[in-house]
Amino acid sequence: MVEKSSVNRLAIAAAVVGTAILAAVPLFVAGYGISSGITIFANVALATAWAFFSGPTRYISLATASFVGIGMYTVVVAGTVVPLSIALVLAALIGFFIALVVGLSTLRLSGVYFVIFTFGLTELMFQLATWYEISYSRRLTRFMPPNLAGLDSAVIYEILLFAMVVALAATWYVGRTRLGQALRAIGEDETVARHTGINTTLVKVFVFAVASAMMAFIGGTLALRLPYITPSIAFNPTWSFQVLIAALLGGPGFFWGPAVGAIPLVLLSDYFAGRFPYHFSIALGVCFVIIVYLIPGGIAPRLAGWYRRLAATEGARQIRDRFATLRHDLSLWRRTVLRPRLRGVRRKAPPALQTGDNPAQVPLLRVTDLRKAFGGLVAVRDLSFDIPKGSIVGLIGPNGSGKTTVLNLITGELVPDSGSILLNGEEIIGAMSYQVNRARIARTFQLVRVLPGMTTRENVALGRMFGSDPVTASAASKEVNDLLERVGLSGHAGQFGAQLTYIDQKRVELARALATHPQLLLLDEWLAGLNPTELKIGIELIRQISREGVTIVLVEHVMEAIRALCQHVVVMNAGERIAEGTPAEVLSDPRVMQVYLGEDDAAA
Amino acid sequence: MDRRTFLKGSAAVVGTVAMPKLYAQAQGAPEKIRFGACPLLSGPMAGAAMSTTVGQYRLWEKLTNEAGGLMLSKYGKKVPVEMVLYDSRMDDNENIKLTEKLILDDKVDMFLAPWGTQFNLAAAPITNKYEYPVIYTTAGAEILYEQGKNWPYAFWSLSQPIESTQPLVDLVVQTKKEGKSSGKCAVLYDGFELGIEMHNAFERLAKEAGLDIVFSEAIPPGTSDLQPLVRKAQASNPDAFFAFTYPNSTFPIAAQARTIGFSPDIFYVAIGGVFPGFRDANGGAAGVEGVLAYGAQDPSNPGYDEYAAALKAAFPDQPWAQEPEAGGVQVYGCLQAVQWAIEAVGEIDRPKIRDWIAQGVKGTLYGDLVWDENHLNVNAWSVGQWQGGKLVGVYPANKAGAKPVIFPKPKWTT
Amino acid sequence: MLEVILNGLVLGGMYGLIALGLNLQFGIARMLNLSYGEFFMYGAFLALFALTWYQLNPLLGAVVAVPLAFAINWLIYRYLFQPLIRRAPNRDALDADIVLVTFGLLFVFRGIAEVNLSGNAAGYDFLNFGVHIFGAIVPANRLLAFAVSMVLGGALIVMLRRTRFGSALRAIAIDPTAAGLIGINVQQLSALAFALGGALIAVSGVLVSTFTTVSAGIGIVYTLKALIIVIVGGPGRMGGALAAGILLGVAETVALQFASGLTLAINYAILILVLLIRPTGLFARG
Repeated sequence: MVEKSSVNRLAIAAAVVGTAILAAVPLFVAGYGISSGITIFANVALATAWAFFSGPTRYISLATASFVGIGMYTVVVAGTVVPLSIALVLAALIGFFIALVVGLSTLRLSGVYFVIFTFGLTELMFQLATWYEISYSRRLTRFMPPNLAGLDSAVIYEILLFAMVVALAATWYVGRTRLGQALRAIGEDETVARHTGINTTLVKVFVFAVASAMMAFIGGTLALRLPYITPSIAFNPTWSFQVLIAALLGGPGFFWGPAVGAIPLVLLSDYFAGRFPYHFSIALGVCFVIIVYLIPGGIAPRLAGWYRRLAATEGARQIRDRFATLRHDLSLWRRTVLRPRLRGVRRKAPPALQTGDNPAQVPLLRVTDLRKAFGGLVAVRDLSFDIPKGSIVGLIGPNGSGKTTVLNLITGELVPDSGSILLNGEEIIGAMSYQVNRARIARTFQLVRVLPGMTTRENVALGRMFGSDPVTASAASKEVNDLLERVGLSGHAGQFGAQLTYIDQKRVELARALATHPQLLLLDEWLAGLNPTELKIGIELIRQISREGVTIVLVEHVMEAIRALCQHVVVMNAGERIAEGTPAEVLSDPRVMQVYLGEDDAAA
Repeated sequence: MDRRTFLKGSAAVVGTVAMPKLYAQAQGAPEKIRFGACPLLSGPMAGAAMSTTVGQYRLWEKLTNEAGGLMLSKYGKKVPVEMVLYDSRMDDNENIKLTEKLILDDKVDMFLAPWGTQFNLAAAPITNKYEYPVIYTTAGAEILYEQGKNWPYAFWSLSQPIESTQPLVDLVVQTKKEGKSSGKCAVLYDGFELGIEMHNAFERLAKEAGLDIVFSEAIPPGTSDLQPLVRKAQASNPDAFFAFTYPNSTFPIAAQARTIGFSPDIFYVAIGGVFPGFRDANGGAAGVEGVLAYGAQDPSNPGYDEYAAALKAAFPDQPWAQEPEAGGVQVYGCLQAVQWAIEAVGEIDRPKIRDWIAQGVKGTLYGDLVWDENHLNVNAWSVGQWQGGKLVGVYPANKAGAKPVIFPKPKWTT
Repeated sequence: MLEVILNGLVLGGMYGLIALGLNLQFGIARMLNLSYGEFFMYGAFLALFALTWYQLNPLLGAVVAVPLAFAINWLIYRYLFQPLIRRAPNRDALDADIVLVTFGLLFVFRGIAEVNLSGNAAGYDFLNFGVHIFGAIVPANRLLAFAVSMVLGGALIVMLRRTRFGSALRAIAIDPTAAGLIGINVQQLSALAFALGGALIAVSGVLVSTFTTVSAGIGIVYTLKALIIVIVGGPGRMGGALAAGILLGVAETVALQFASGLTLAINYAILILVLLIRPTGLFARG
């Protein structure tokens, strides 16, 4: 996290002690206690594993059952030939690799289609497994191998405790790293993520695979409880649904959220199954509806809120002070007695594209004969222009002339039908958006895209952590503060994107783009909607950025800004360049005035 | 000391010494004897489970309590019984969880079988581990032929796959030898445990006997429309048709067969075929005449008429309770066995109860229970047939009460 | 083989009708309703009861089922969905909420049926005789279901093409924001479309119950089938849904002949392939 929250050593110590206590429970409690423990640990672990991917990215997956099933079958089949520990590791690995393939589906699908896809996948696996078992194995039940069949419940308990702790720890840890921020960015606005140097494909597929590997491991362990497995046990959609509801009930935004959701659900369903057997379905359904309406974020945020209020009280403050003194003494000892380690490794930009200075007179960006058509509509037609290094070039034209399309073609969001785009002499067509960003081209969006669920600071930090010169979360924070001050947002650092005013949102976008250390900044109607004072400030800000060496392309309708800032202007209409030159030349060109006829600014 | 004082004193001393013993005896008697079970109470098979298992448990509980309860001779009194039933919702995980809950958490005195081969098989290792004697009433699986002996506390009362299908094979062989049939068999089966078991056994036995299986297909899970498959079976032109199916498929298969006029000389349906409801849904006594089914009952067994009357009286508005069905009779017979075991031992001493049952039980509603070394009931009815509106036992042919088989099955009446 | 194809077409036509309702709900009103199939189940039971309790023609079950389904679905849209629509920050969040709510409704509706109708799985005999067409036998009840599906489907398509109401619905399907901008009351019409979808599936339930067994749990099967067809045909395209339904019907019937164990697997394989290769649907333009 960019916020400077120190690693709470006390919390970690408490977690370790808690785990040790739980691990020792089977020594004192027999029978049903262990059985309950197994159920709770399994549910918490699965729900946490689910939320590991689906929580921050908001890709709601119903594929949990697929991987639980894969894990179960792996253990039952492999358990005949290898020891249990290897069988479980094998289950996790197989789950991981299958998930890598399945995860690629996230490239094409999102939202409700992803949900449907993952559900269909589970059903397909169920049908195939059933067909195979009936046709070839000649029986639907696959009995546990004898060496595993009599396994003591306490062993299953400990393995699931281990899995639960790993799932929780992994989610907690990732949440504090850049990867966690990347996941959140993907969930908030995937386009922004792509444009901020995040390789969204890699992140999604990898994290999905890790989550699925955990699920497969847990599934394999659960199989040990049963005398046999059948496809309807292994690929039962109930696995998917119950972790979904547990994670949503608890709140996937916190690493302990799914746990908080899973535990009451397990207890409730035990209670209901006993007392109201006929009404279980109805109760579950009502539960879902209630969660959606009354606790949309889950229980965890509410608990967190209470905790915050509690932590703000006087009594809590005194306790904290006492611990702060203790911590200070400990750290003094550590610094003077133990040697500190180096933290934070600078990562190199990917070798694909040059990021350095360009030699001689090669223009920073050269667009040649660019063409893009959507079906019968030609959005950009044989467009050519140069952007000299260090200049501010204006790109103007009436609405629908293709200006934003040009920006999209440059950033890799769209692929042109023909033509070339050279950055420092190197072709960038075909590069993905995050690669273009890492090659130090940044942009703002015509419709502001601030990540609503992240704070101002987190939004800007995203650019610093993933842009062309990525650093770790903690290393980013100083520069982020500087950027915030520069665009005038220091006072709003902690506010969420959704709470900011329109102007402030624009500033955030600019700061975020700057944080990626661009050599070329594409501003898409950034000055739109500003009053005269704000416009002056904005123009001055752009001028400053240009003085620092950043080349700027200004797509604008505000002619005052074009005149004030641009050395060179390109005019587009209906996808073609119709004029080019200094602002004075272009704005007095009769052809240009003609296409703007009817535009309010033409006379300005 | 005068005599009166002495007598009074003696009485006091004796009384004081004897009191704790009497007190302890009366204290030892449990308030209730709790029987736990987790059959499925909801879902598509709930009707079958109710008729065969759950309804029987409730009936037995009611009748036993009306008679004052079970006589525990150790305490010299009758103790009422209580059924603790949970819904497994036909979910294997729930089944196991609830079985453990009943034994470890609720600590029931005795455990009763759930419904369905899969669930019976899943519960057996658990009840065996905790040494609860259980007669499993709705499970047929070839694994029991080896595994049964490893579970000394589990008993299996239902006819097993080989015993159920061998007579069918024999019947076809017989009629083929007599020139009355071509020996061509068609099979449809539910891709669900008992269906698969019976199909596997039948196929193996039929092949060994040299019979020709011209059609054999599994019903994909989730299929609600069975007509295409029945037509395919018909198209193969068999003389014998076997549906190793559960009630959800059994009923529509018979209905479809009647509709499309598929009426081979041997027509067998497995689970559900013995329900009176099956007869009523398929044209009544005349409609189902000659249909073979899984299981049977013998009305000449002791207590049958009283049982039939009590069943109807206990559930007056339930269609399944208006007449006894073979599965329910079997379950009730096993409940009797458990009851007699408890009363013979005189207390809830589960190892002793197990030993008593293991000797075999005579004279239940279901006939005598005779166990082999795997605790499988070798005296179980394997095949029944509708004759004159009644489901009678036809195999094993040498069992007391067996009637001769009607062959060929009369054509469907529409 | 002709018989197989013919039966496949008949089945497919019916699948088309089953999908049309969901197309109205998902393609036009843009709400993925997981409780869709539960109205099929209730329709089927009402038909069953019409016959078994009142000795009436089971098709008369539609008289109760259709208006009831229409009203309940309208209420769901108006009072359960609209608050969510208002509060959702973006499309994905709204979709997630709707999926969850309708999922909850699925459990509630099915739970109510299980409590009251559990163990009442039953089929009944109605028009259970064969009709000879080109030498092949098609059961009359299926033929009837097919005929009604074609009529209703055709009426729906005509309504969408030729009436103002229909044009408004199609506009909403293409671009709700733009539709709103030209004066169409998107919310009100979406509610009506949603309700109409519910009515259609209830009719399907009545029709299909004439030849399948009905039980409290069959709803989800038909929801999924409808969903697969809608996705394959392209959400919002009625003709596409019908075509996809026929495709699926024939594929299933043929599969049953040759590899019956994989019949349902084929359903899901088609769904996944379409989602991955052409998410807009096989019959969508562009």
